[in-house]
Amino acid sequence: MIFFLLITCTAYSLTTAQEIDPKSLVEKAYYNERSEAYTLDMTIEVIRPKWSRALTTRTWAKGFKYGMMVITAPAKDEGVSFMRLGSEGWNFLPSIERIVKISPSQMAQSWMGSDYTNEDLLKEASILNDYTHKLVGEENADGTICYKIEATPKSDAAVIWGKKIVWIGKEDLLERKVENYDELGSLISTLIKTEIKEIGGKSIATTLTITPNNKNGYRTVVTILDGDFKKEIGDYFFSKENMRQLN
Amino acid sequence: MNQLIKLAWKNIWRKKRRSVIAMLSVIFAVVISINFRSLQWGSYDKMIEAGARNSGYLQVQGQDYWEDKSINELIEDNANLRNRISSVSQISSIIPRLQNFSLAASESGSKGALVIGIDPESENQYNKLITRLLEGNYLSKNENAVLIAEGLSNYLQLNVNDTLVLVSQGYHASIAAGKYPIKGIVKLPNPQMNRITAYLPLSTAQAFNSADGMVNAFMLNVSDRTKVEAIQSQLQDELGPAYTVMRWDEMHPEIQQSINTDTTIATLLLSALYLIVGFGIMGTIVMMALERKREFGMLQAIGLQKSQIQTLVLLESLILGMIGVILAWLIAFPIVNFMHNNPIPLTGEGAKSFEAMGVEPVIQFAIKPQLFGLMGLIIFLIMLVASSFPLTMVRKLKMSEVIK
Repeated sequence: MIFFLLITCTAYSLTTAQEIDPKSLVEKAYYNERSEAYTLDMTIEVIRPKWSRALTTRTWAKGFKYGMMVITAPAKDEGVSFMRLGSEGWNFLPSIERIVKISPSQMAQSWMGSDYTNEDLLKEASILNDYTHKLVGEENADGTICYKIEATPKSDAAVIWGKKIVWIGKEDLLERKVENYDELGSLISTLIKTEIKEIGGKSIATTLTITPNNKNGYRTVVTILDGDFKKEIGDYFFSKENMRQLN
Repeated sequence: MNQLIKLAWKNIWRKKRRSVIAMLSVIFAVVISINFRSLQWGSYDKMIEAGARNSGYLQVQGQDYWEDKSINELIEDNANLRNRISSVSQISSIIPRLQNFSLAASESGSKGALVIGIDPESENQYNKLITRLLEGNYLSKNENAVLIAEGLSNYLQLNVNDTLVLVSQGYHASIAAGKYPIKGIVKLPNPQMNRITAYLPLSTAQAFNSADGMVNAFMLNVSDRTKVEAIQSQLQDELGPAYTVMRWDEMHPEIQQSINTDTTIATLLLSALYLIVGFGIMGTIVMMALERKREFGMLQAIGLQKSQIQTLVLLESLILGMIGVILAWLIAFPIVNFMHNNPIPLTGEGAKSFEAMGVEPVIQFAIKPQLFGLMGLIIFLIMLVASSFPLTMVRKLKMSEVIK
């Protein structure tokens, strides 16, 4: 009986191994644009029907746990920093010399008036850990044949999305497009990653455009200017004390 | 005609008691209704005043501001725009404001707050903010300080000279953060405003929101509130579609609605009163006519035209009504005037219900000349209707029958 069970199990795992494991695809795509520790310089442009505003930032990240970002321009917001430890976030505002914690209730709110939510920035490895993945087909996105993967949150995961659909390039295994849906299944926002370039030793998408659904003329464009994927950063770097001194 | 008036006057006083009773009922109805409506109008005025204190009687905004009251829909505060606004007559003052919701924090906690950037001088001229000070001093122009409402200071446990921290999102998604010493604490009559308001000098608020030289609205005071609609359309024409000019009752539809509800109820009540009084008067006049059938016949016999008799009857009832109305005015005016000049302050539970609506808890009558006119007109109409019976009677009168 046990022998029989073992055989069926092996047979089952053999058949699935032949198919493509969507989780490993998502994982590969995830690591293809990251390294153990890295820095990125980017501009974030918030575009609205009547106005737009650009910020220049520098980001440090290490593993799943650590993230730090400081605004370097415009001058008025210079020195404003954000830090992430696990899924908790803090914000340092130099003009009031205070560090403010980003509360769980603020997760679904806009980050700095952009189309990103706080969760998008804080829940770093969420797509790997909080979701189950299902390959639903192949589709063309941005002129590239992609795997189309549907990610549904695990029942115990504290996430704001009801579903995500991820397009991963078949050739280079880079994420090209992400659609975020709410729990009722309606599309909330679309992230499109384009302009694949060599940055700091990795080939990554350097233009990230997030467009909310049903909001004409709204979008946020992140442009990665520079980066270093071979950086060594000590854990001590990610501290509240350091948030105040990044400038 | 003169003779007829004389005759009518004499006829009225022929049955003194009956005439006096008719007059008394007119006086009663008019005095009661004038006082009742003056009281109501007084409270409407207070409500409008309370609403307009926070919005102005008119407001000039960017065309899309009102829809979501976003900090991104601001207008530039420049001399040109101000000149264009003040070119419209009857606008007595222009009060700039820049307001934004913000998180207000102290050592002990944080709370959502409405941060209003004000021009301290014109704001005070308009709504006497300085008189609301409980502690500390009023703001001066361009100063880096904040005035907070009593409720907010209690919640955050902050006193004068403590520091208030404000964090928000400013103009075009900029980061708005600042700390300001508290210069004074004000008690605002509107309880909701009293819990959330913080005032910054305009230039400080502009720096806080990264919105130099911008405001979200100009509140306008007008010299005659009753002409606010005409001023609005005139100003809208002057400014064009890039701006929206709003009236207080568009910004506070709830005030106009509750006034309308209240007015409807009052109209029903007073209609009942006038109906009762009206039938009383009609009875008097009908009786007067019936018992004078023979007399009318005689008058006709000695050569009066029927139309002259009809005029006589009409004159009698109109004079009766007029005396009643004039006496009523003479009685009502001093009462209304006294109650206007000596408002009764309310205390206790009654006061709380007023305060809950943001209205000053006093009973003050309003002096509305049109009210006196309206009540006079109603009595005039009642008299006309009441006279219709004797008029028809005279028309159908057969002299030969009545003077047999």
